[in-house]
Amino acid sequence: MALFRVVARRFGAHSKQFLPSSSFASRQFHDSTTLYSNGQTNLKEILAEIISSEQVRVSDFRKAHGGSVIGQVTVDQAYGGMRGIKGMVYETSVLDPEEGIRFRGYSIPECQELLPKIPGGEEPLPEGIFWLLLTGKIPNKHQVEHLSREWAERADIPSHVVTMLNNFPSTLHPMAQFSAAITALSSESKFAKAYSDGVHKAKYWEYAYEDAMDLIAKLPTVAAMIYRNLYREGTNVGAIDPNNDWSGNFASMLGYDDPYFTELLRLYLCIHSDHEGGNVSAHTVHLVGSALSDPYLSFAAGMNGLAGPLHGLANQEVLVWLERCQEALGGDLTDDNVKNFIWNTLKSGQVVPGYGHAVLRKTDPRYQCQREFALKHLPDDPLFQVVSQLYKLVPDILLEQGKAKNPWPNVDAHSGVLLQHYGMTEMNYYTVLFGVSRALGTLASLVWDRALGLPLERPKSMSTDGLMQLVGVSSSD
Amino acid sequence: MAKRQTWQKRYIDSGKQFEWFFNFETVKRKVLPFIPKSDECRIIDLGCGTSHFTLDLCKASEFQGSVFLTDFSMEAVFHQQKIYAAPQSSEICYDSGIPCNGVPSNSKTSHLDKSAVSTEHKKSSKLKTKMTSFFLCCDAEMLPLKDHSMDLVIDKGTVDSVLKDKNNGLSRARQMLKEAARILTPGGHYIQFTDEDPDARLSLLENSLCDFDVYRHFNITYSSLGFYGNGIEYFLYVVVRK
Repeated sequence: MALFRVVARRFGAHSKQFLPSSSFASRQFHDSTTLYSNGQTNLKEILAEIISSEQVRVSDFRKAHGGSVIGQVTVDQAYGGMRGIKGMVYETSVLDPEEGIRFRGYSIPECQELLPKIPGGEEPLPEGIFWLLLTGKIPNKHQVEHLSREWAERADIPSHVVTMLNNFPSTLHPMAQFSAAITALSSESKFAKAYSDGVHKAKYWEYAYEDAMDLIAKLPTVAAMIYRNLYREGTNVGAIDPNNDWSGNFASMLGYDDPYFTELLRLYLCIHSDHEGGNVSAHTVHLVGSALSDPYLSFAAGMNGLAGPLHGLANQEVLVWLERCQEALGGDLTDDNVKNFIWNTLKSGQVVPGYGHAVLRKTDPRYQCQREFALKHLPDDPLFQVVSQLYKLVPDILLEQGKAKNPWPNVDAHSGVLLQHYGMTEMNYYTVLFGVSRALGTLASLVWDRALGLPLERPKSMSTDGLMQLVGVSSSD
Repeated sequence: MAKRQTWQKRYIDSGKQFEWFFNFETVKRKVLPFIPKSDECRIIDLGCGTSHFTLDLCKASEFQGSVFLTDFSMEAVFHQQKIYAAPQSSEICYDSGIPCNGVPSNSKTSHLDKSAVSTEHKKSSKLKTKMTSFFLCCDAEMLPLKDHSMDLVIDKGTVDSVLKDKNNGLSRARQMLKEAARILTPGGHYIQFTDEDPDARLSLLENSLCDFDVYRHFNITYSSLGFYGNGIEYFLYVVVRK
């Protein structure tokens, strides 16, 4: 079994050249002579302890304050997508208007500093983010390596899903393929089987955990097959390397061998992993999961939400506009020219896409860390230079118009630019990457939903007549 | 943007009207319902700047009570005096904490002895109303006003400016909101115009107004004012003291 193999290697290794080191991206387990006990890397055991104490904490809180009022609901909110209504509990991340998204309380800069990286690497590993989201604790290097190995072992997909993917026409959007394949993977669901075997509800979370681990492990394989089928003439994704981390395997299955692309992928998969519970994809996973649909069905539903133009497609709009700007200015990117282009856009009643995060008061750290990556690795990329310049100029222009709103660029603007640089120009595919990343947060949350025994979700709906009556208006008015 | 000097300089360089987000006409329908009817009532504009919003509001509603125009920039207060047709020679009290004669003051902050005599009572013949206007140069984070003395508090872009302070924006905004809550009468409204999203602004309001169990003491709601050009959505946040 996996753990036994790892332990044996550590005991046996004396030289650093135990495994062939084919690229900067492969990792070696034998650099440590300390034995890490089974208990310290067994995520499920660690989680079980944390869950029991958290269950008590929540239960005590609800006993003392369950009836406290925490907000007021208006008619507009009922018509307005429930915006602002505090109606859901979601533990894994919270959006801080000052610091950006916080994963279990840790901001992105803090995660970048504290989470393990590959030897010689600079970007945190998504395995570490998942560990943090699930347990609330920062993992150490060994725990992360263990997780990489476990995911590598769980990565195989059943042949019926392979057949299904290979039979999809190229006209079927990548997100539709992605969601369909995930739904079909539910044949592997341990949760569904346990439920039909009548397992006690106190154990639901354990099966949700198993399915989450399996699904996360399989997503890169599915996503890479979709990519290869659509854009690389159906070439083979190749085998999973058990010594490679999750992102490393993903990159090589996609057919990218630049180690900096893999670093980018690590960063990308970390920063998109979670964004509170109210957004369509996270809420859907939570909602569908509350009916005790297995995690595969729940996550696939979330992906159907992510496919909607209002949720996951922002990155495309931005890229299109940036390219238009580049074309219009033909490489003559003086501040004045760029300013004129912006003003012309605004005057013609259009919006400059990709700026102004609705909620943040400062620059989105997800934008910031991508900018830093670009400055380090691709400072001369022409599209990056357009982004840099535009967003240097846009804030002042907005201020001139008497707007207070945070005018800083959107995380999506930047991700498109970075992916393009390494050769991933297929914009239709970007949302699939986003989806793979979002699995980390939404599935970690789903495990906790079952652990805390959260019930079926069911807000009260009202008809217009009903609302009028409630407010004291005659419905014939 | 959060500094007094910035605004002083700005108003000195250009004495023109400056409106954050939009002017009164745009949101007239939404605001008029908040104007109290009684001539005993008091309206205060926190951080009035060189905006004509409150003046337009008072004219449109034929407000009969007292209106207070406050700003930490002297230039702004001078500007307001002009547009309310108050005489140039009146003096204005400055520096928070100085008790101003004829104006309700916060006894906690009265500690300075040197002060200009405060305010200007002016029955404005232009407006043909009983309305009286007061002009205070003071800091919204430390208002020289009694608890529960204002029926309507108006904030258009003020807390937004304070939030721009890179180092202390959040704590200053909290302080300002606490003060606004303090001077609000029971049943009074604090209305805030901004482009900040409810996810951010609601939690700021909830965390600032009151240290404990905020919804026991206040109701906080918001409505969207719509999109006025450039795809930016504006909001009206309403806090009512119970």
